Amino acid sequence: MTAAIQATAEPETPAAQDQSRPRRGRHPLLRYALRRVAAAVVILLVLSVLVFLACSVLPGNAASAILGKQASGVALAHLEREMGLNRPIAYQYWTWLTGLVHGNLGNSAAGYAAGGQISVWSQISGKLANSAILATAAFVPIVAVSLMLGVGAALRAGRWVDHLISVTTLVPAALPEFVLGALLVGLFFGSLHLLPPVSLIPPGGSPLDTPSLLVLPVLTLVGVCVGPAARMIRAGMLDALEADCVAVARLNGIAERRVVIRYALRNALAPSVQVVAMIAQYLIGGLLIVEYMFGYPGIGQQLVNAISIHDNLEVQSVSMLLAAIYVGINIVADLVVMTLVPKLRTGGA
Amino acid sequence: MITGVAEDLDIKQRAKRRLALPPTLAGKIGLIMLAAVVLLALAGPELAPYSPRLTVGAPYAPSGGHFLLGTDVLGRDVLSRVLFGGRTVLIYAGLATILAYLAGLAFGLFAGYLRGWPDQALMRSVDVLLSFPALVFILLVSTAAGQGIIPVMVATAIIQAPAIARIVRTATLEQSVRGFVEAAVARGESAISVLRREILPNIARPLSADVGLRFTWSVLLIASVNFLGLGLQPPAADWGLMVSENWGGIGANPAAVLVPAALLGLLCVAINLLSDSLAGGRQWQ
Amino acid sequence: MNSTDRTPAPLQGPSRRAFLHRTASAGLLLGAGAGLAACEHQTSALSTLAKPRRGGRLRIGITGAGNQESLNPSSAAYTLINLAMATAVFDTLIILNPDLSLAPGLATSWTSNRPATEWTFDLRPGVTWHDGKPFTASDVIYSLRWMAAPGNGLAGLVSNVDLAGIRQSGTSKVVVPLKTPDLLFPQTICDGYIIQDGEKNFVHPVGTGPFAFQSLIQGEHSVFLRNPHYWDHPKPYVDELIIYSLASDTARVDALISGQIDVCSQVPFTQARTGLGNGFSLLRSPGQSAYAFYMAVDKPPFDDVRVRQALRLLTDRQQLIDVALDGFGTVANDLYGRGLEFYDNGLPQHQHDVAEARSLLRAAGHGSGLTLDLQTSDIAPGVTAAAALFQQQAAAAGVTVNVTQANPSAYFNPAELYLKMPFAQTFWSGYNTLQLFYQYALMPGAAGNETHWDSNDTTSWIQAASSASSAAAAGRQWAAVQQQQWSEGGYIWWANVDNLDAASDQVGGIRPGPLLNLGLPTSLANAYFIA
Repeated sequence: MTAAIQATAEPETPAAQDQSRPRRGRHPLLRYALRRVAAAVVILLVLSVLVFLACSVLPGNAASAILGKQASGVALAHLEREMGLNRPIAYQYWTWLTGLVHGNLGNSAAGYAAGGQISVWSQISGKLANSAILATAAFVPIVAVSLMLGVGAALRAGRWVDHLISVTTLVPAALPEFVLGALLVGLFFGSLHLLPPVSLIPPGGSPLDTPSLLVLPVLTLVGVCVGPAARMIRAGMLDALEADCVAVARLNGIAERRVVIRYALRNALAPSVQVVAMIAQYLIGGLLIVEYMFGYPGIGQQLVNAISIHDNLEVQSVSMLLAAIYVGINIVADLVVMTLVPKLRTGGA
Repeated sequence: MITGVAEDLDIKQRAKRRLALPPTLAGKIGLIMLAAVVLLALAGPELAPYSPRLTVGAPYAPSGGHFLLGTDVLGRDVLSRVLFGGRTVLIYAGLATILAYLAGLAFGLFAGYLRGWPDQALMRSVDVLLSFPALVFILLVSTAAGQGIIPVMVATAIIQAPAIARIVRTATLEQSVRGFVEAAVARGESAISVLRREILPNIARPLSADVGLRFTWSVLLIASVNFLGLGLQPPAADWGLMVSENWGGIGANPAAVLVPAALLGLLCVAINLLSDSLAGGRQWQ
Repeated sequence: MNSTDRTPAPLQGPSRRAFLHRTASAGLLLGAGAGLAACEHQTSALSTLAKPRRGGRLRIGITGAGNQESLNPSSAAYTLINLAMATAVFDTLIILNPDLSLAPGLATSWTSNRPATEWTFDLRPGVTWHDGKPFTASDVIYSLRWMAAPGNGLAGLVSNVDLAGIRQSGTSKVVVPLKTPDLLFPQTICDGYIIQDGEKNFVHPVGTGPFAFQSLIQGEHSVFLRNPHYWDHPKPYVDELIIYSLASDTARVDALISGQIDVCSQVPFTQARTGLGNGFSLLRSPGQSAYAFYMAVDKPPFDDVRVRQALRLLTDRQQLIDVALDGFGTVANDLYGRGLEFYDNGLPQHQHDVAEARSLLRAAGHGSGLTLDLQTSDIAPGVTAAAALFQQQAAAAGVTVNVTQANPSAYFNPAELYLKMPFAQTFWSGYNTLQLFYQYALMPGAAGNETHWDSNDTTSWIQAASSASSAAAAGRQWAAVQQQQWSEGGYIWWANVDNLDAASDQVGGIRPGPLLNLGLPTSLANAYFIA
């Protein structure tokens, strides 16, 4: 999974762009944030068109997905009319887009099937919450462990500890999530009978009521993600340790411990935030597989099911939701970096 | 200026270094593992005792007896299918990676050399593509284009190309302001020629650092899509597909799932160890 | 003539889901072989002896259908989970037992006039809806008319009904006139769920059934509470019913073994073969569902009857059952409906004969080889495996079969692939009168005419048989239809598939039957925990 953490869009620093002009105006951070948000909106708009077009090319549509074998003739035409699927494509796109912007994801096809109205949001809000719980439960250990391992390995670069960490993190990271998940299930359920293999959440309950349900999915995500993340943290830390100011500090006789904490860690902060952002973005894709495997009732499983039955409306809306979260993570990460590393704001050395 | 000559020497030296054995023990182990897996994948079909698509026994017969690794969901010999199943992994992941590099190189060189608005246009498109979760993208594209492995492969290539394009673009930008390039331009060389002779060799190193990882990611992405049932279709023999189609029999004949899974893992681990070692950790920056 | 609009349930999703649409079969099984009626069922030894205990929360895992899950009874045909939920909340006029016999439901008795063109149902007194309103004849009349609405999955049940003429007679009788005579109308109407007069919205459904609706989250679970005023005292026995929607086969079985659910529907063959461990029993019954390959008889090379016959001959049905179904099936004879009334048991079983197949192909001009494209899909357990096996079997006779796999949703979607594939697979279930099946499958323009069959003879035989006024007359016509299908038809019916479910030994009252999985439709009300 090493490269599964994608490179994110380049952080555009205000400094990089305005080097020739004197800095003017207050709140450079705010202006930066606004500019990034504006760029993100443009990106999301372009994506929304692409996703909508891709989904309209998908064979079948939400109405035929509901009707299945009945999807023909009067029945299909009737349902399509009800769902607004017979309108021109541009109109459908516009209705969908304006709905999204207002937080209204439209009415679920399931509602039409039941003869009433069920909003898409009411259907996915619970699953979104479940996915958020799973993602957070995985995020925290991944970040903590990869920070520890990455910094630790960097500080002892070249020694046996470094190599040990390198090798032990390499193996699970090289496995696809479904393989690692299968091995874990085989171990913890098949052999040890310790943990449930399926994330069955009783009605009215939340995953937090039965935390043992979360263990295997979280372990799978952690196993796959920690290795690459730790290596990137290590690389960033090594860079920081070799920076000029650190060398200068050492030459000046400052104690190593203080050098590390005051200079190196600070410089390693920016790339580490990027790594944390990548972890969050990885989780979005990782959730798809893991939720499907363990039957965890989250948004990832919802998307895979929707794609399988060609419920295009659902696919559109959920894809855009995930894309918006993905883009949002980028922006937040860049803002955090900006805040933590003042020199990026001012462009000074 | 003699920089051109000096750079030439540099290139030759670098080429020699690239072909040398990996410096660390881990790297050497990785190389051996990789060679073993690739050999198995390529030569396997010659050694298979049975046809990979023929039912030869009862489903999920355990290993031993006639069938070294037992039989799979359809009573086919697992050993034979494993021996046949590496080719598709190498081919499709390999093709996807090559396509990604071709596209990334083309766009990155173009943008980095010309600069100006083509650069901006390209970089904004890259941003758009990078703003979408990879697996979701592949699922959407492959479903829109119809089920099968070709759309999955193309989608995998598309989703990796932007990152490569960005690296190439940055490297091209850096290189194109160097003296020898300006000299070549001043000599009247065409853009294509400059790109090919001056710039391309010098961006090879930043690119080659993560070839291995890209290939690994292609392997994993495609295997995951196959697992979800949206890529390669039965009755093809493919390690990733074998894991998902024999899932239900993991209790009856675990080898049918575990052996192809282990081979997939070995492949990826080997590549990681090797490329890690070749990139030298931190030594060659 | 009426064209039925009932569909064998569509399948969709990443894993397989079986859909059933059940109909009744006649009380008498004329000339039926030992077959389905005398099916063996294994239930846990304990459950048949122990007394039902009141109370408890029954958790059932059923193959999920995601957003297609709905409590609209018109969609009960689409998936097993919808059907299970519908039988929990709603009742029908007549109940079909798992062994295909009829029992009174909301109608205590039913009679017809001599020519069977008018049926009268006596309604059960003292029944109330879950919201307290009394059940009356107007509910029945409204329901029958509602079923006929375009797009309603149950429209086929009432396609022969003269809707305008349905009337109440006295306080508790409903008279249903038909357009043409139908001896088997009670069997047909067994699937017609009765809803409240004026009801259109099923987001919070109200029924008369053993359980009252509590909540539904598509793709996750649905919850139902015991109806204390249910007319069939003392049922239901359990206090609460939770149906978990689990798409993945392994997830369902794992959930049963780990104690997260009590009953698991549609156990995969492999797991059934290897066993589930102590404390769990397999609920197995030879089933009504049949699997087939089909050929469009208007497309070359299938338009040559010798090619069709040859392909039937080179199918090794027993091997298909042994490998694709792990042995959980019985060989079929290129005819649908074994065990049903009027099924022709006298026709000899088609054998596996490669030599004969080759000579037929040679005669048809394909002596040097034939290449075919078979489209398969993961629509039911064992279907894709059968395709791969068929490919191997055909190769033995010099026929090259290229297998491609399609998306299950698209496979049964007439807007995408359904009825457009010249060589594909199908499975049919729950069409328990030959009439309903043949009207749906062999009439030109019918919604299920997979083989593109268009023959005046067949059409007139089917029409005559469906509206015959005597069993003997019907039998003659059905024999003609079946003889023709057996010798020249476009189907290769290769197996009847067993119904396979599993339950914890703590659960009793679920009797497996050939009709549907889980002993539906009566099992939810009958289920109990062992005392």
